[in-house]
Amino acid sequence: MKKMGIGYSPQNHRDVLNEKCLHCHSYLGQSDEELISQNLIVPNKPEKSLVYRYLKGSNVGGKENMPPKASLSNKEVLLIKNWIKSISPQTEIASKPSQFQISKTLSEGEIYKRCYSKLTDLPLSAQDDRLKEIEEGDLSGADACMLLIGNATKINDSDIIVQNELGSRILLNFQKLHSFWFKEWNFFTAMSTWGTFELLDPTRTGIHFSYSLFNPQYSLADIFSGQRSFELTRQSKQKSEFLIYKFKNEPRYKINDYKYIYGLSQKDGSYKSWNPSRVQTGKITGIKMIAKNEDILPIVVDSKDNQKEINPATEIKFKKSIHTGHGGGIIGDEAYISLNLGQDLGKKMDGGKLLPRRWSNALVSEFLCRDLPVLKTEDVIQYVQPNSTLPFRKNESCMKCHVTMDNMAGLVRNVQQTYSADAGGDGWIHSTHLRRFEIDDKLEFLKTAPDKDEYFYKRPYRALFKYRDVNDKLIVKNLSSLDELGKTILEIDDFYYCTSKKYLKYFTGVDIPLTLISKRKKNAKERLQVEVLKKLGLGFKKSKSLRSLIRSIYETPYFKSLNYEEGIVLK
Amino acid sequence: MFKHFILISLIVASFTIKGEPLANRFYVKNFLLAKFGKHLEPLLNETIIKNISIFNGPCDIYGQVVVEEKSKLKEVYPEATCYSDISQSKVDMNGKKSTLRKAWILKTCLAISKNEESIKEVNSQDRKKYVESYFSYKEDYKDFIKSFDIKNSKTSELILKLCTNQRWQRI
Repeated sequence: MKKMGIGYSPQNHRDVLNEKCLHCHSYLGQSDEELISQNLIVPNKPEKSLVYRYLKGSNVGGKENMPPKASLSNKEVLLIKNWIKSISPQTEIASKPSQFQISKTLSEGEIYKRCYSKLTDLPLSAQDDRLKEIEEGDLSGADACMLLIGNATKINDSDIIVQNELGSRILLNFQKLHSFWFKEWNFFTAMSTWGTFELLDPTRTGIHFSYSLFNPQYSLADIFSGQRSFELTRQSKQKSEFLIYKFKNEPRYKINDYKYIYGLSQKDGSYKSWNPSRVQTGKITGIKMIAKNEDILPIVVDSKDNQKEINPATEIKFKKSIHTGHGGGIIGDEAYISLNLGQDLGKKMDGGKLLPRRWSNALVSEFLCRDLPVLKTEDVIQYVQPNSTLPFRKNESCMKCHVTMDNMAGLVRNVQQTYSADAGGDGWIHSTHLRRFEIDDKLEFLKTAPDKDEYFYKRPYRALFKYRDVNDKLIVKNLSSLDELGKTILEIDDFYYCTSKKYLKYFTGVDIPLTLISKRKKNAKERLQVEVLKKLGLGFKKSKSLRSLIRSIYETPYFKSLNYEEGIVLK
Repeated sequence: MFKHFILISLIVASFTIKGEPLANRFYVKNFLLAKFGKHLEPLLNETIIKNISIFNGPCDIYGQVVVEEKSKLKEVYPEATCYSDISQSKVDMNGKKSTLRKAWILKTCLAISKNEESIKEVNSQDRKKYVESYFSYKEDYKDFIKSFDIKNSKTSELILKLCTNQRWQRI
């Protein structure tokens, strides 16, 4: 062993390792991540770490034969111990980039054929002009794919218009894909079956993404803010004669036999009628922003005991467009909230049992690709209320979900499902719409979550958004609106990984759960999946562009492989 | 007996497909129309388009335009139709391998291989060029010609062999 350096006075573990260990064990000069990956140290657990267990004086039942000729001082042993204890359990194991080979790689022309078929549902003709350009080396396959998307539509004012039949196919496919990302399709329909479907398109949540993809000026920030709503424009060689049906075997009702009504029945049994615009039917021709004052519904009906009894119902002035969102763009879209509200008609939120938890759960699942709980016990213990009458509030395990879920749900507390009229049938249609209560600033903020607050639905409110992302980073924010929640979602890495994952699955069939990112020991296949997903997600976070993200997917080994993931040979 | 042997061989042979996702019902229909003739539309609407749960490819709720013609309901755009209920607007975009899918493809391909117009359509083209253009990827074409004598086979056999080959379904 070499003589101790002059002036050696160790201040940290590196000093000790450099002075006492490295000349025989040079590998101890590696980074923490590399030492972890070689199982030489266990984060936060010196007693389980080989490096520590070998030290004389460590007293943890290890071999204790190092250094061989002299012992370490108590201070030196403590420096090593404290170093290992300070390493976070989440420290990622360093890994070399995945080594792989694609057994059969597509040519540039074949890449174009693949994306063409995917986006249009058509086989590419061998005479295609763009194919010739690719074969002549003037264009790459991925660039040709992007031209396909870019030329599918044009923008006129703020309207997106398809250029031709091919453009209609491409827009339809992306719209179907974006709609597929959102599970719910059935408006609350205790009594009205098709009425709401005629006025609100349940697939319109996805339109926010489609609009941004085909109008790149409409940014991610725009998707998640404001009250804009969109509709698909359509054309048909014949006019549809029948109302939308839910089930194939239902009787069909002719459109012309029915009138839209609102309010309570008059003394003579008649109703006030209105003429809302029905969702367009036929082949897609574009996307349009719905005007702010379109389809103003004058009155809604407050029903106290919805499914069993709708009397006594009262008329409530509404005088708002049935399309206007509730803020936060896509997350506050009328259709998205309505489909996910999970509360019966006429119910007012009370902050306890009655909260739109289905909506906040859907938000975490559909925009962040995570399942609750994402928090740890230590994150929620302060919110447990041992004296609560609600069982879940007393339980730490339950609160791991509820802290995230309930806080977000509180941002939609002032929304209520209502009917447009108190009856339907016999030539009349009514529909369900969301009423928004005005916040009463005279009411005070509540410091703790109530078991039951009769004014909760109109009380001023601040949500404490608490969420751990897939990298275990704890995010804590005070939010008072859906716009603020939308902005917060765009700050979370999970959103970018989630969106990337969904497009990757569509284009390549590879489905990567976000939880794989934080898995400590990954096999070779998983390591490659995480590398690809992280590259896509972080690239998307930087570019904030859906088109750039899609282009990156065409560059992944999965897309370039003839047999997708099955054609990747890992070394 | 011989027919059963062919059927079993075809099913077993078609297990060799590598790679997912597979094409959904829209691509399957359009591909077969392009390769074997537009006259097949009614057949393909019945065997492929209507089988949403087998081939995937969501329906389009508002793409449905229904009119009354001679006291019967007519769907103007069959590809938009939700054949059981509108929850089919939420099925996966991509197709998946399954035994039922293989069976329906086989049934469809048997019908196409016996169709006189389809046989005419294939015979009207240079056979080698036709088979080469059938596959999107060179590798798939090379593997096909290794395993099948395209020069000397009957047209109906060629059609059946091409149609049931799953490589074209992996787009």
